Amino acid sequence: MLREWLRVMAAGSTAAALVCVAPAAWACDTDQVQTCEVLDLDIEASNADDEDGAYTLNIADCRDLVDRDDEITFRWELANDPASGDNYGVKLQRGGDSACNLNAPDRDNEGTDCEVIVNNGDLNGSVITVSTSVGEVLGISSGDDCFELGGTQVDFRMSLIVPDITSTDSDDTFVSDDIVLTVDVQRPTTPTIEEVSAGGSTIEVKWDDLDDDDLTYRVYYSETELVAGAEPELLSGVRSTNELSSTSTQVDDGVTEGVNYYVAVVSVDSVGNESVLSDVLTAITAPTTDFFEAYRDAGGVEEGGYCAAAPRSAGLGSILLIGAALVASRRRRGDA
Amino acid sequence: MRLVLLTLLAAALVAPASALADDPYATPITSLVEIRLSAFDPAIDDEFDGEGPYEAIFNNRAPYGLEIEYDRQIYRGIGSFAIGFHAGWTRVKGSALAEDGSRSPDETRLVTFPLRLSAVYRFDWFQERFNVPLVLSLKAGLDSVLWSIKGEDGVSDWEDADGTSFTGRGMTNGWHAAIGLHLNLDWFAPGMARSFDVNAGVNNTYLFAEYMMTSINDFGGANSWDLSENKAVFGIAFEF
Repeated sequence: MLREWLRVMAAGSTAAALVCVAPAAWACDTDQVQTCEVLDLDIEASNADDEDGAYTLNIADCRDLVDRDDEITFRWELANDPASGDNYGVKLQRGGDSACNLNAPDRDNEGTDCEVIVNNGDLNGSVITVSTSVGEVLGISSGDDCFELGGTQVDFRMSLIVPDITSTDSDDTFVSDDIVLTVDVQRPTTPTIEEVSAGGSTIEVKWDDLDDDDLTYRVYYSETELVAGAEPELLSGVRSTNELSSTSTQVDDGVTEGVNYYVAVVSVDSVGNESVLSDVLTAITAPTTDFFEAYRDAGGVEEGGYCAAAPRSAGLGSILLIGAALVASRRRRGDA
Repeated sequence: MRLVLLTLLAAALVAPASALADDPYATPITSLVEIRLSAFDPAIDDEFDGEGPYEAIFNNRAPYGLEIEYDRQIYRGIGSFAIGFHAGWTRVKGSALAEDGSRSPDETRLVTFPLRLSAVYRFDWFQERFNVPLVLSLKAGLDSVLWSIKGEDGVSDWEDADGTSFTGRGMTNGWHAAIGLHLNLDWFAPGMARSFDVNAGVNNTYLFAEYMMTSINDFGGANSWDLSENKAVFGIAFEF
């Protein structure tokens, strides 16, 4: 039913911002609307602030959610049960917060960036939910279009409009706080990769510090060719590290001997957006010489193992063990 | 040494007889435990001319290793005589070498587990008789050092050009001798020391420094490397 409302109201509109009729207190903790939130939105956890009703979609989230045609559900909870016959409206506003006429639950006087999602919906209870796809909210059908929203940080505001129960005028409305989706497609600066070296099963990578405390770094490495400037969220089958605060790291997960690896580094900002890939350096993993091999290669006489020194070692080892046992037994007798 | 002797003499002349030694409520002394800290700096490269493999890979690092010693006293009179057992652990890490001899990102490690059996003499007569807070210790004994070398895929395991297999694990034996000086902390806080004895049975607590010589080369074995060290050892000891 709600989807029908959405489809009807969205028809003919390509506006990507959404704003609804909404009350004025953050977290919607008001006398009339006490909750406004988004349910089950699959985004980077640190970008979802349930208390403020603010959610940020970074580049990867935006691409994934739109390309997967993920559903998004907005939920409001009224402080009181509505009266019979009460209606509500939901409006979506793109960009600023003045594109919609929030004083009316219908389509009156909206700007071009305003979209009426629900018009005169029946209030059947205190909980109101509106479900649609992320793409419909953003007004795009492909993840690539996340960069075509009209800016690098674009807000989409969803507001709920309900009858004002504090007014004696039945035409007065109350507008909830906005639920704000911010699409952030601003990539951070690309770091400069300095050096890559390989051991038998380890690759060491060094890069320049960008002198920005808000940035971390991630290393991508692959047996298949990487291209400088590529968008990291589009890579598949490429290994990467966790976010790193250092300017060098060693990677060994999945690294095998005798393979040519392509390695690049990206920076990562506070919302999880990654820069494009840095220049790509290569390194070939090859056998290395550990300490024992180096010792023997240098002409060392120790052969290792226990058998070669068995007579002496076994004898002395026995002495030590017998000594320890004697000490222990004397202690037990002493305790007794 | 001269300073130590003078200190002992001066303390003996001016100090009253040990209060703790005469304390009828003091618990009997049977054992001593030492927590020992020392740098690990083996003589592995001594068998090579110029830079040896230890220096090349570990850059002559001398990381600190930990050792625990338990002494069981079998005689108390003019000093004490004990049988001691030590167990320790050290680890030094370095970069494996690439084919061109440069350092690679791969790590290689030498881990040792020294085990020692000691005869220990502690000259604590001045402490017991005159409350001088210094105790001289002498130790000598036999050692077995278990060791393990790790490469990129765990314990080093490889074949040389002749097809002979090698595993980076073994045991090397030898002997040690040590001289140490223990400073009795009880002397500074006798009330606390008495309480420590009553509550935990610890009669004396020491800070100590020790000079230890080890010869760990299978007594000059022809096929043994040299893990010998001459080193300073520091730590804390509890006598109970």
